[in-house]
Amino acid sequence: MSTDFDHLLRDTLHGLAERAPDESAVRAALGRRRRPAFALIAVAASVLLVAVTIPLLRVGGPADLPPAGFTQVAAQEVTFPMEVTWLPPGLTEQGRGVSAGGTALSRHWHTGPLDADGMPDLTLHAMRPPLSPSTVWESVDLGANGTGFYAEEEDRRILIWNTPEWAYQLDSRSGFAGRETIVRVAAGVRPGRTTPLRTSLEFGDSALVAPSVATYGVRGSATGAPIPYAIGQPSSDGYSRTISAELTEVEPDIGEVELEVTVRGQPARFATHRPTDPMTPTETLAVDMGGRWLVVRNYAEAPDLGRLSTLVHVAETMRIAPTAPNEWIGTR
Amino acid sequence: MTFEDFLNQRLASLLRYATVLTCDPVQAQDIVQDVLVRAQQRWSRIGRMELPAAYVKRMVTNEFLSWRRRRTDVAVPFATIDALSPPVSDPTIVIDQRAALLAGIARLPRKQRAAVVLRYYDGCTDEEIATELGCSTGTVRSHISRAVATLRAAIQTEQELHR
Repeated sequence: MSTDFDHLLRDTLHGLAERAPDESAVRAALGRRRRPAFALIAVAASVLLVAVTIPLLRVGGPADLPPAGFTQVAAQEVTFPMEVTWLPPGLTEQGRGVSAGGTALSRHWHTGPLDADGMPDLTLHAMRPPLSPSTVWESVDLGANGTGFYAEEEDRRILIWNTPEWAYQLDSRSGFAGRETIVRVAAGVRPGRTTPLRTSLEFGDSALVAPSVATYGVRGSATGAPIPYAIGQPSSDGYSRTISAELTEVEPDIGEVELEVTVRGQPARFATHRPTDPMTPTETLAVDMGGRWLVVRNYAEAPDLGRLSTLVHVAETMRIAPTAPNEWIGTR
Repeated sequence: MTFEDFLNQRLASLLRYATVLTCDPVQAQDIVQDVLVRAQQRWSRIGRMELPAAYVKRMVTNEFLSWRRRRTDVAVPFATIDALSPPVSDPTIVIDQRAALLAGIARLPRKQRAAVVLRYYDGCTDEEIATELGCSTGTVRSHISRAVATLRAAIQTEQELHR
């Protein structure tokens, strides 16, 4: 009876599966609702491979010695080539990032300090032109900046436009600003030279984190101390994840500590997390650097205690420079 | 893996899975479509996972579980009976049993139904089902045990009606 029942149930379910709708209807619907970012991500990835266009200058000095556990390297300085002449009230610049090689740049504005996984209210990306909109984008007039292309997604609004030197993408978190505001910001973007971004955290092992696609940056914090960060993609095929590191004065809440280890000669805590979405980490390693914390996060499908060794290696090999001034944080 | 690659490899099986979960091709299409729009938006992250298909399948499962909370149950799809696999020795009895099973499956509580589908359609182990549904293996066994008892009772009732 049990075997007969099992067979009947299996046959019934497989027969029901034959009633599945044709996939062409879903493909057509996806085509109509295609996320504009999908095309842009591919473009953004490709520009990371293009030659360096932004000079990286060395700064930092012996008077500002790092504390114990730090590897002495110099900060890197990047001047951004665009100025924003108009912003909505209440926004201040809270983050900047640059791809390795300087071919993609990002400026983030927010109504307060950014969280590690938070979405800024407004972000301006600059990358190698051109960016090509798909057919679902709306054409808009950007005055001196020519014609832009506008699209709305579930959680953000996007405007792109091209100049001979740079392609720009302006992202606004949904609920923050409407179409008119975004267009006005874009129309006010001009070529110029900003005060520099000074990064002070780099991945140190190219065999583990692919150097060509890494991003380095600094964001503001509630304490006022800048937080340098690095985001990369592991090089190994068997470990094709996103991994991030940041250096913060604020002790991170990593949840229930599962293991305590020593990293860079300092005490460190390791915890795994079950992700609720792809934007939450699956493993976190927090190293107490004496007044500052080096936090390495891994983003995978499911938590794995076995990744401790990888995160430890990333933390051990991070190159850390003395904190450098980033005068632009908190300004407009 | 690009999103297009993923669609080429997995869209058909996702639609089949969702159809079995929902017992309704229209609802299955809606769920898969909603899930894929979200997955496409986050593909830069999902596409780098070791098992993006497993992740998206779980999104479909979760969408089904929450979807059922938002919507009234669909009508029991008796119309699907005609499209089932060709019956064997006694077509009438088998079709009646399948009709009773389909009706019973469509009335199962959502987690019981998902557990039955994962076991009898997908061939998952208790541990795999527990991971998919976010519960213990004991709860999985309880879901399946209760569901099977309900479905057997549905067949029994059908047989008694035809005596």
